[in-house]
Parts: sequence; C-alpha cells; structure tokens
Amino acid sequence: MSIPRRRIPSLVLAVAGLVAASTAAPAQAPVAKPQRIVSLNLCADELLVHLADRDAIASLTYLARDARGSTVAREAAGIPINHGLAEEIVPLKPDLVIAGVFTTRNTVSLLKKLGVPLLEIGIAHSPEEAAAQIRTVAERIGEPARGERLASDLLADFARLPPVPANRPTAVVVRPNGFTAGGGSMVDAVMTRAGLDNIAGRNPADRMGQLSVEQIVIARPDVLITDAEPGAPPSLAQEVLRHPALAAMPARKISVPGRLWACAGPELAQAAAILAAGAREAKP
Amino acid sequence: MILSATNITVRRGPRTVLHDVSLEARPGEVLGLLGANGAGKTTLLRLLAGLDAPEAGTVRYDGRSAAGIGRAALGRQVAYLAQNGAIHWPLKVEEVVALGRLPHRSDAATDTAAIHRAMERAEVLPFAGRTTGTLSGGERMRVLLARALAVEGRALLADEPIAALDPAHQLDVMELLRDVARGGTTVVVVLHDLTLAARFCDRLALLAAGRLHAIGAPMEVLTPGHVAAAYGVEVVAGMQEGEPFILPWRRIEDGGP
Amino acid sequence: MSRFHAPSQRLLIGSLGALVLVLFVASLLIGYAPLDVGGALSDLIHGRDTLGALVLLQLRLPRALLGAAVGFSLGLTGAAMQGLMRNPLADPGIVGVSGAAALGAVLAFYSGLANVFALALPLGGLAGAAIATALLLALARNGTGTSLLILAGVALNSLAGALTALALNLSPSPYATLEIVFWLMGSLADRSLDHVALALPFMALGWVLMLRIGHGLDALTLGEDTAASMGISLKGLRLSATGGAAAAVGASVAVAGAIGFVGLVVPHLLRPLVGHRPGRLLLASGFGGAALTLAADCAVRLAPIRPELKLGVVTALIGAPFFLALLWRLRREAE
Repeated sequence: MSIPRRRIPSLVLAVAGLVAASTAAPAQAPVAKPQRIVSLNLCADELLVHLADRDAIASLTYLARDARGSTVAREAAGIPINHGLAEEIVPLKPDLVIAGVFTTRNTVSLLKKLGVPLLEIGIAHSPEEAAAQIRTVAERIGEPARGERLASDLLADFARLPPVPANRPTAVVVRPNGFTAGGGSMVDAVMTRAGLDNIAGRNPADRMGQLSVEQIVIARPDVLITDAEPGAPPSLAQEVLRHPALAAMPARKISVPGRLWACAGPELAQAAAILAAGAREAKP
Repeated sequence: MILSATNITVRRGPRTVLHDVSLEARPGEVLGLLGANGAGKTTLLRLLAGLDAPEAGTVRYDGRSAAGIGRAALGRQVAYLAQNGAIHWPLKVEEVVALGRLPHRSDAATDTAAIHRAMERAEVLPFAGRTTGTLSGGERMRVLLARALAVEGRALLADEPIAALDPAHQLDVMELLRDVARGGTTVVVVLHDLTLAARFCDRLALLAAGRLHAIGAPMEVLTPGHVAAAYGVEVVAGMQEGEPFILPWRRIEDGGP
Repeated sequence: MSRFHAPSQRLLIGSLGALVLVLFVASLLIGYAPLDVGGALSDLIHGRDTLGALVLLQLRLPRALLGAAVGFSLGLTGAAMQGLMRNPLADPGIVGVSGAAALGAVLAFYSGLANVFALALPLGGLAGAAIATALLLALARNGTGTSLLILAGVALNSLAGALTALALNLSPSPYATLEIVFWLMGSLADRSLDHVALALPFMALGWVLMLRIGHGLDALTLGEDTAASMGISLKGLRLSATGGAAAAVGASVAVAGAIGFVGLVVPHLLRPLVGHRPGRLLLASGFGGAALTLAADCAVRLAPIRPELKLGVVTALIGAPFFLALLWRLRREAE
C-alpha cells in the first residue's frame, strides 16, 4: 500500500460524514493515567497534542507532521511517528492506542487480539458531537479538566457566531477531485451555523459525491468554498479547483484549509468564523 | 538508359559480397545476372536500382549519378521488381498496378492509359478487380510485374521474376521482358534457369563469389567450364530448333570431374 | 494514381466529417445540468457574461474540442503506425506508445515542472511517445510480425505502467496514486480551454506530419525496397510517421490520459471502405477516431454512473473484443 493513499480515506470520510459511528468504544474504567499513548489516526493525533502531556505520547501518525493536513505539525515535530503498522506499535508497549473507526483496521484487529487497551473514535458530524468526542478522549487519557475546557471553549465559540439569517446565501464546497461535502456532514453543520445554505446538502444523492465543474457552475452558489492550498504539490485533484470556469463564476470565493474542519477540534470554530465573515459579505 | 557499374565493391562486415565488379546494361537489351546463391546477384541489382550505395565504385545512369538525377526522378526512370515481392494489404489488383504510377504524379488520363497497358502486357486484366489475397502465386507475380511495367521507366530491374511461375508463365514473362527491351528499355534480370537465360537474354553476366566471372553473349558465358566454376555442376547442353538449351545434370564432387 | 474510386473516397470523408459534426454538437448539448445551448450561444456571440455562456465556453466547448482532437489524433496515429509497420495491430495503446506518453506527462506534471512552464506537459508526453515509437521502430524493421509487435507492446506497457505508478507513488501529493486511473484510462471530464490551447498545436503538427505520408504508406504496401525504388525516402517516411505519432499521441495523452483502442478499432472498420489503401485510410481514420471518441464521451455522460466512467473504460469495452477477434483472424491466417 502506498503511503499517501491512506490519508485520503481519513480526510474524505472524516469530512463527508458517510456513516455515523459510535464516538467511543465501551470504556473500561481507567485504572491509571496512560503513560505510553499511541495514535493511529490524524484526528487522534491532534486531540492528543491538545489534551495529553507530551511525555505521555509515545507515537503519533506520520501525517501529524505534515503541515498541509495537520493542525499540530509544529507541536508534533519532536514526537516519534508511526505509519500505522502493527510491527511499529507493539514494541512501543502502549498502554493506550487511539484509532479511527475507519483507518488501519488490520493493525487495530491485531492489537485487539494482543489485548492492547484501545479507544476507537468515530467521526463527529456536528460541533456538539465534536465536543463529546473531546470529552471522551480526555476522560480516557486522564485529563478530564483539559477536555472540559477545550470542549466548552469550542461550543462557546460557536455560540458567539452571529445569528443565522432567515435568507441564507447558498454555498458549495469544492475539494480536490471535485469532492463536495453533503448534508449530515460536519462541514454541512459548520456551514449552516455560519449562516450558509449548503447546496450539496439538499440532494441526498451527492452527500459525499463528486460534483463536476459544470454542476457547480450551473448551481449558481453565492459562495464557493475551496481548500486550494497555494503550496500544494501538483495533482489533477487540485487542478479542478483552478479550473477557469470556477474562476469566472460570479460567486464569492472563500478558501478554508481542509485541516481546519477535518477533525473534531478547536479549529472548527476558526473555520466557522471564516465562513461567517464570507456569508455576511455575500448577501443572497 | 545506359546503366553502368564501375569497380563496385560491397562489404558486409568482414565478408566481401561484391569485389571490383564492372558492367554495363544498354537500352534495348536484356542483361541476365547469373550466379549461385550468395554470389552477389541481388546485391548488384539493388545497387543498379539505386537502393544501396557501394563502398567503392560508382553506378551511373546515362553517365549521371543517382544523386545527380534525384531520388524522385530516378523512381520515374528505373523500375525495380523485388524478389518474393510482398503485398501487405489486400488491395485490388488494379490498385497495386496503379502504384507504379506513384512516382509520376501525372494527369489521370496518362496514368489510366499506362496502367491499362501494363495490365494488358502482364495479362492481369482478367482479374483486375480481384483483391490480391485471392491470387495464386503466379498471378501475384504477374501483378507485381505489371506494377513495375506501369512505371514505364527507361530501365526495368527484376529479381528472379520467374522463380514462382509454372513453365508456361515462365515463357510468357521472359517473352514479355524481351518485348519490353525491344521497345528501347534497358532490362536487367536475375535468373536461375540457364536455358531461359540463354534463350531470352542478349547478354549474360555470371557472378561467382562476388566477382564477375564472365560477361558476354550467352553461349560465351555458359560454357561448361564457366558453369562448373560458378555453380559446381556439370551441364547437358544442346540445340533445339536452332536455339541452345542447357540443363544442370550432376554436381561436381570435390576433386574435379 | 489515387484516382480510382476517388468519388467514393470523397463521399466517405464527407459522411465521416458530417458524423463528427453531429457528435460534436451532441457533445455540446449533453452535460450534467440543463443548459439552453441556443441561448448560451447567443449570449456568447453578443458578449453577454451569463452563466450559460460560461458553461458553454469554458466547459462544454473544451470538452467537445478535445474529444474531437484527441480522437482524430488516435485514429490517425493508428492508421499511420499500421501503415508504417504493415500490421493491423499497431495501435498506439497496444504497442505502448500511449503508456510511454502518459509516463512522460506524469513526470512533467507531478515534478511540478508543468506548473512553472506549462508547455512541459505536452512536451513530456511527446518525449515519452517519441522514445517508445523510436524503440518500436528499431525493434521492428522491415514489416513487423504480430507476435514481436505484441510482445514489444507488453514490455513497453508494463515498463511504462510501472514507472508511472512509481512516479505517482513518489509524488508528494496525497491524491497522486488515485490519479493513476486517469493516466491509464483517460478522461475528458472538467478539461478547460487552457488544455485545448496547450495540446492542439502539437496535435495539429502531428496531423500535418502524418497526413503527408499517404503516398509513402501506399508504396510501402509493396515492401520497403519497392517503395524506395519508387522514390520514397524511407528515412523521411519513418521520421514523419514517428514524429507525427509522438506529437499527436503525446499531446493527447498529456491532456486526456491514455484512451485505448481507438487507433485499433477505427482503422480496422474503415479499411474495407477505402479499398485497404493505407494512404487513404489516414484522413478517414482521423475523422472516424474523432467520431468514436466523441460518441464514447457522450456515452460516459449519459450513462447513469457517477462519478462518470473513465473514457478508456468505454473504448476498451468496444475495443478489446475487437482486438481479440483480430488476433483470432490473424492466427487463422498464419496457420
């Protein structure tokens, strides 16, 4: 399996909200604060960096160090990394492994067989679910106070957003490869809170589907949200975002880096603030 | 057109295929090229056609070099009929013959007339509309000959044109070549049949191991001694209706007859 | 000389041209969202900056233009390579020229070179195609046996495919490995006028080079010696065919990926209609290729499959059975 491929599912699934999953595995009562925590998932990486003592983190995924996708690249720089392989994890003798429910499944099932304590986190579909997930992880790693602070700050940030107007500007998210974010996803929830009407949310058929440039243009959104990164390495996926037809659209264009709303974390509020500012300027 | 080869030498790696060969073919005559397999007949014919260049020596056409005449002009003046000529696509017979007009790019009426003449002479008119995939070996050879005739060049060079033909068609083709020469064309033909060579060629050139062993009138060239030296066979020769025949009879074993 | 059946030839080219025109218009009419094409056209002509005009000009037009141009390139190249090698299986996809072009384009694109210097993309494709064609030609002088041609194709295709996969794996972009499908199967989705401007000059150069060699390919029917004796420059012929194929296929693959089998199916279907004359087959195959590619691209948009099928999937569904049937027949003839 190629290295970059693994990141796609984690990003795409995390943001698209394809399947609702349980936010936590049945938690055993923590006997003691785990001291050698290993993360197998980028979202777990970010939560650990925010919540755990640095010394308690035994390993993060290699994705945590990539500033294009990770919000904690700077903090992760000195922490050992793994590529999701069981052979890397077992010798670390972790007393807690945090994994995503959709990623590194083979490693997870092997670790289960070996009796390694495991916490699986699902995909949050709303700021409230994100807050719940933050609290769950914090509880499990023995840092409930930090978790509570992070979660309530997040919810407070959302509460401070301007009230949602009755007549919301329409918007659509275009991601590399023409992927969009449909109804029920975290992105959809954040857009709604920020006062935008997600066009892709209306049609259940394109919940996590790809949209052609033509569909996007014809849909006449008031706001076009992309996460084109200026420094991204060349790919056909990014080419879609630079299509001249999108550039020529009269819509207001907002760029939101995907890492801000790919995971349950404090950055969600940042994404919402960017969108809310855009929504105010783009009256329908 | 006078085709002249002067002091031709050709090497293939360490092997000398032709060694200091000089000869001339003149308008109105049929010059037969004879020799055992590997003696250099085809190599010489290709040089005369301008397909290859010799390492040493010159080939001239009425005193001019191939480069002086130009590739396209040479194509209009010298027709070449390859050995075992292939026809790679199942074209219609008349279209294959029409390819002979390709070097000319003249007007339609001129081309059509030339194509018709060539098909008539090579006796392929009866199957002009068939595709080449359906032809017998002999018919194919005649179609290819007709293609070469359609060039209506001043020289016709044919590499073993009768090898695949039955006796009747062999005679037909040799008569046709004679007839073409009578019209003023220079004809050079590679042959293996000594009798037909003797009967239909005005002069013969006998190659042995890359050297010109003998050249001249048929009966001066096809002496038992020359044939033995060139082919390693003993012949039976005689006269029939005032014309010579020569048949290979037995192989000469090492150590002489 | 080419006057035999000239009227029927004109009729064939005329009908194929008309077919391409019809499919071109159909391609403009078919899309993912309802569009009043007439209104959009009038907006475009009168310089009105409407959404319809935008969709027509920036999305449907480049797609239709590329469909026609890429198809023309593939059909024409198939006919030219088959004429040159005198083998009906010499399709740019089967013999590995398209795969090598994809490798060249991938290297130019994912290295970031094409971002700095846009022409690097078609030039990369061209270089890949040129190397593969030259290799093939060196391997296959004097009429090419089918088995040699197919084996050369297998070797070139697997080498180019492996190197393409390697290049994509080493690329820093997280999407790169998913994009191998585009390069190996081809697509015209979401292409822009920029792509047309980038590729069309190279394709046109390739067309001119290949359309000039009709007489030479006709002469080559009788073998290289006979062709040379008729004043055809074999070196010039090979250079034109190779250069033309490299330019047309290289540029096509650089913007649309490797769309297979067009160069096999189209010449095969049209050959009887031009009396098997390789020279006459050239222009006819160009138009035929354009028609087939436009039709396939309409089909992927009409088929209820989303995300849309790669174009190469459709052409392979049509082409691969053809290929097998052709192999079957050649085998029988060889027996």
